[in-house]
Amino acid sequence: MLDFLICLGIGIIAALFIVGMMISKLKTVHKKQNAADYQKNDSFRLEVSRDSYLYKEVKKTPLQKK
Amino acid sequence: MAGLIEYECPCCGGRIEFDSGLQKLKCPYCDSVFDIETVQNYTADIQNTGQDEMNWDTQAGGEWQEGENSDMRVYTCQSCGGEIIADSTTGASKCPYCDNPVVMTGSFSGDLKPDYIIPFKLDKDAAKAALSKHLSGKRLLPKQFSSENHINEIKGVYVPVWLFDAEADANMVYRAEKRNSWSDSNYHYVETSYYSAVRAGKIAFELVPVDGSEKMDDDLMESIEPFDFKDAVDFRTAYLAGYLADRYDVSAEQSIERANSRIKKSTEAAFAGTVTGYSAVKLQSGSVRLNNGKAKYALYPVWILNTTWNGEKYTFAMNGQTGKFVGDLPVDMKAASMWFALITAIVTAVLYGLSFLLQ
Repeated sequence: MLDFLICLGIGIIAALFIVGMMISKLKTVHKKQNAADYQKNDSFRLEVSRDSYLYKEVKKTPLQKK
Repeated sequence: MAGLIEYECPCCGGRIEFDSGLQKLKCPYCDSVFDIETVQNYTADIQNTGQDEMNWDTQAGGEWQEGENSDMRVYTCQSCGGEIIADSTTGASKCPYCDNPVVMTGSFSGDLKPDYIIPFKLDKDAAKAALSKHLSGKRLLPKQFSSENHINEIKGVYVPVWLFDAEADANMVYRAEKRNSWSDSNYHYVETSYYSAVRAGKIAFELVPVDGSEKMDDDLMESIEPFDFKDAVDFRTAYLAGYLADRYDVSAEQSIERANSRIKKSTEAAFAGTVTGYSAVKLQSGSVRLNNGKAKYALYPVWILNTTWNGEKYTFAMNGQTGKFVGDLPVDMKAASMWFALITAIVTAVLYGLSFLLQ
C-alpha cells in the first residue's frame, strides 16, 4: 500500500509539472524586467573590484546514530 | 566634542563594541568578532554607494511643418476614449484596442512630431499566418476559440514609444557567501564565510523603449520587443498610409520611471555578474547615476487583434518588423483535468509495475 501511495505521489507531481508546462505555453505576455537588449556594445567598464572577507559561521548538526 | 562613532555589525546589523580583551570589535548580540579595519572599510563602502540619481532630458519629438499634417484625421473611440490618427485616404472605423466604433473628431493638430518611425516590414497576411501558428499545437486551447476567432480584424497600428539613451555610473556592494561542509563521526558541519564585494564602473544603454500609449498594454508591447532600430527612418507622414497611428497620451516624463527600473535592473545584474567564485551573491547596497540621459520619440509598427470569447477580452500583438507574435490564450480546464488524470494514472501504473518487477 505504501509503495502504491509513493508511486501515486510521484505521478501527481509529474502530472502537475507537465500540465503546468502545457498551461505556460498559453501565456506569452510577460513584463520585461530589464534593459539587457539595449545595452550598448562594449560599454561595460569595471573600474573598482574589491572583495573583503568579513566573518564566518559554523553550524553543526548531530548525525543520527544507526 | 566629536560625536560618538558607531559601527553596525556586518552579521546582524546590531551596534558593535570594542572588546579590550580580544583587541577587536565584538557584537554583543550575535558574538561575531571582526578586525577594526574590516568593519571600517565595510562601513565606508556601504556609505559611499550614495543615492540613485536618474535625471533625464525629456525634450523629445519635433514641431510639425505647416501643412505637413493637414491630411491627418483624429478618430475617437466612443467606448475606451482612445484617439487614433489615420490619413484621410485610410480612414478608421473601429478602435484597434477595444474593437468598438470610432468617429472622426477633427483634423490632427498639436502634439509633437515623432523623431523616427520603423516602417512596417510584414504585411497583414504575415500577421494572419502568425496568428494561425500561435493557435496551433496547443493542447489546452479550447477548440471553439480557434474556430470562432476573428482573423480578419487584425489592424496595423503605429504605437508611440519614448526611447531612452543614458550612460550609467554604478557603485554596488554585494554580500557574497562561500560554503564548505564536512562531517565527523558525531556531527555534520556547514561553514559559511561572508565577504563584501565592491564593484563600481560604467555601463551605457541606448533606445530603451517605453510605451507612450495608455490604451496599448505595456506588458503586451514589451513582450514583442526587441525592435531593431537599424530600420528606423526620419518620420514622414507618408509612412502612415494604410495604417493607423496611436496618439501618445503618456508623456516622456511619465515614462521615465519604467525606463529607470529596467536600466537599474540590468546595471545591477551586469555588475553582479562580475562577483564570481561564491556559493551565493546578494545586492546589499548600491546606486546608479545617469549621465547624458536623453529621450527620443518614435512610432513602432504593431499588428493588433482583439477578440472576445466567453465574455473575456483577448488581445494579440505582432511585431510588425520582426514577426514576434504574443497573446495570452484561454485554458480549457476540462482538457487540463483530463490530461492531469491521464498522466497521473500512466506514471503511477508504470512506477508501481516497475516496483513489482524489482522486488
